[in-house]
Amino acid sequence: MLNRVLKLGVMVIGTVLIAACSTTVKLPADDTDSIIPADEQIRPDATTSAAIKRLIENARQASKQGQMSRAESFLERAIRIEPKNPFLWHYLAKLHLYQGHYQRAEGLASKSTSLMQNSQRSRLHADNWRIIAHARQYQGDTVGAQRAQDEASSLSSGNH
Amino acid sequence: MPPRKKRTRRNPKPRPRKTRTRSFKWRKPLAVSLLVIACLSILYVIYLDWQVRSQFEGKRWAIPARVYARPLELYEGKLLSAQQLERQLVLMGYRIQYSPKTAGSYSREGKRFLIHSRRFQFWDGVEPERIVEVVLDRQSVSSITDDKTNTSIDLLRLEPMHIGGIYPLHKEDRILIQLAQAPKNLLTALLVIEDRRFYDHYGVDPKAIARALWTNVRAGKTVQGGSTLTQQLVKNFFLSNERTLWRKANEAIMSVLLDFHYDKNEILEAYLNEIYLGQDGGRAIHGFGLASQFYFGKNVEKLELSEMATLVALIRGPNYYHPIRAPKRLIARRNLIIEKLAEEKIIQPWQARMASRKTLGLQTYASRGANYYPAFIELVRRQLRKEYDEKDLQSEGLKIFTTLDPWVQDQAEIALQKTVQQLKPTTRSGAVLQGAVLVSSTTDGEVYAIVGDRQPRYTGFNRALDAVRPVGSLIKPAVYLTALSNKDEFNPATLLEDKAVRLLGPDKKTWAPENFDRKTHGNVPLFESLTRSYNLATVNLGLKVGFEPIQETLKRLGVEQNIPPYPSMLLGAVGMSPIDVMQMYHTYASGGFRSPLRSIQSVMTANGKPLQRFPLQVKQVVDAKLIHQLNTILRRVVTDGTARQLNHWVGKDIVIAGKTGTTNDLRDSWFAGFSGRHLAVVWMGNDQNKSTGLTGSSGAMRVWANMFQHIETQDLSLSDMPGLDYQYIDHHNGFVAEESCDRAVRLPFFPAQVPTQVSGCK
Repeated sequence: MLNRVLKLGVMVIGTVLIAACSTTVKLPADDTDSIIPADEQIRPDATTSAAIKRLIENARQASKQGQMSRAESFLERAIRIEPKNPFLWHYLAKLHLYQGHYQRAEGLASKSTSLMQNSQRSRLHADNWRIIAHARQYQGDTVGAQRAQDEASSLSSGNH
Repeated sequence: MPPRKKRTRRNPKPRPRKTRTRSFKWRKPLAVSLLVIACLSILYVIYLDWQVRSQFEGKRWAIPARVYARPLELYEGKLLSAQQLERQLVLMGYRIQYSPKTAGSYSREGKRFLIHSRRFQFWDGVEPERIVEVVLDRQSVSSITDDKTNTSIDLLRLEPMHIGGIYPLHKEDRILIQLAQAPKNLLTALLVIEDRRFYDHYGVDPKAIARALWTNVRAGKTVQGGSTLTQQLVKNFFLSNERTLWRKANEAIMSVLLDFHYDKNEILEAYLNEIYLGQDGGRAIHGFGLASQFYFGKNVEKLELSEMATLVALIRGPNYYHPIRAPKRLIARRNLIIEKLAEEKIIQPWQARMASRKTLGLQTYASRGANYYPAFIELVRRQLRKEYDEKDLQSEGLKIFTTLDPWVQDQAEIALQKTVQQLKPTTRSGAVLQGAVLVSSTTDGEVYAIVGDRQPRYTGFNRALDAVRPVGSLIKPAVYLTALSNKDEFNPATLLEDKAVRLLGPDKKTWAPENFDRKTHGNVPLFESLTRSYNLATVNLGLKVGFEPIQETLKRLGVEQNIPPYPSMLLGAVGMSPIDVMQMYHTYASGGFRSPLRSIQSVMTANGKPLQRFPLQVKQVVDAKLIHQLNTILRRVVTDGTARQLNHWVGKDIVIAGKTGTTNDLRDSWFAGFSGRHLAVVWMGNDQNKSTGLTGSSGAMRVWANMFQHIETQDLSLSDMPGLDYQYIDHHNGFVAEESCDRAVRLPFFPAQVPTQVSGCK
């Protein structure tokens, strides 16, 4: 019984989110401030080096000023240094989503997910699915978007 | 040689004159003909003027794009040896100093470096000039400190190494130099020997011509030329060796015109880049920049006195004074030039003596220190033309930032040369053993290194990009991946039949492939068949799976050409170039994500404005779990299969996966292998397509191993994946085994796939 209620809840939330997506057509990061979170919000794992943190901060500053290519360039440098850090790929995916590069955004978000260790499943994983949902939505793939959004919702509601 | 345009002879109509004076009647025809001749001459001179100016402008006004390697980024924990750091500093032109006071210098004390870096404007910002202390620890960077403020630096990016100048839209290969780059002694020697009064004459030098004429008449043959540098330049523009008077006259007129229009220094610079200095097969060596690389393997700035004299000696006739065919003649002329320089007190007598005693010092293939990478530059050129707007590329002085890693490139070149030398005695057919190497990142498609010839400075046939050869067993992983993606029917332990096959080929001939050991092995588990590269089991598997799904897989992996649906395709009777193979293996190495291989990071205009970027792109094309199953098997190829010598040869215990490839009659030897950080593809064979006597593991894999002895890399990560179950399997029969069984192999399965039958091996 509990299971059924939960399932129903997830479905409802999912549908609402998808509906919201398709009607308002709003980017997750409509203001450039939130594409890359400020330092205290960054959650790369303990091994993240000072060099990576510096590059993320540079990328954040650049994206805040609307210099998306520069921001990309900083993140790509960071990826060259730590190619297995899923957060870097995630931020880069967001940057591309913001710029309307939907296919790129989807690819980068999937890559981020593929690099996650078990302990990191949860918010980042859900966020990646959200990027994918948006990217698919904008490309007209409503069914695919819904599937992605369902995945995101199920992770957010702790159902993983 | 461009065909010479026919001169247009149009008779300008003389204007009718009204005045008629009888007494001067006889003069009229003369006057008219004089007028006609004058008009024609003027027209002709205008034509010549147009011709020579357009030639000169074409060469002169285009400032070449500067091409850079990837910059060295230093940060705490970066894998880097002291030797590696020093080598890169030297390649970037850093000089060792007791105390590095000037930008572009360094000092070293064991593992402690003091580096005085240069300022550099990058795509995303400026790196300032500063003095930093870099301390290394074993094989990595342990600290970076600003020497002035004594604060620690998170990230230091040194300016990138300059690896060439190109005209992005031209096909020609030339290393362009600016006048200021040319050593003073080279210019002096050039002027003293070829054109003493260059700065004083008007394009032609009557005195020199008279002297040459006198000398030649006395000698009874042409021994001396009286051409000025300007005349030689004009001659080079139109590339003709005829020695007719008409030509000479044309040359002379054009030289005067050129001299009239342009500054002497501009003419001299064009000369330095244009003059013909030799031949390398089908390629003409034009200009001192390319010639110094070609003959001595170094930048023109670094030439020694004897080498400068050699190049000046070659101007007179690169064929007559051929360095290989006529070395004595060339040395004699070189020494004559050195003597002359001493006579003129440009150099000291002792310098002349020292320089005259030297051998020609032509670069050997093992010679180092050249930062000229023709095979890599060729890919840059092609990708520029493909990815960037033509009108963007026309702007002058672009800065092109590439993905080349100078250290990896060095190791790739050395490994290929070394291996070719090691293997030479075992090559049977007499054909020259050739090879190609490509190295890339595993995550983002960035190409680190390309070698297209056993002599890496040669710009001839670029085998890495253009040698389309059968790939042999390198195709097999695609066949097995296609099978594995049919999860209900195939899993890593599924038994395949390794038994004889007879098929009718497209040419109506029967095709009866064999295993390398010419045996059949009965029922073998899928993973074991790929590990040992069994041909018969693979063909039987492929026939079951079907050609279409395999073609589909190849396409998704990034193979662009059409693969014919013939059975022989299953064993790699498919032509691909090494770079095509790399694109395919990159998808395996990156865990199922396809990225286009890139040689360019970004392009900037001369004044620092970024042009469009060539961004990092990834696309998931294969389920990560399937790739994990496949890579687990490819890992086993290296631990237990056809590549089991690899780790021993590399001399390090790194987790690598890979696949060997050998084609019929041992014509092609392939190896594709990847760690967590690097993917490298090696091909060996010969251009005549004859047997090399090498298998994938005895040839190409040796190059791979020699290379990775000196490249710091990281383990391929094959840690357990959520969503897969792991089980020990007996490799004899594909049944579940105890962990303690010495035939047990731990393999990943989708939950429904885990075998139930027990082998009994403990």
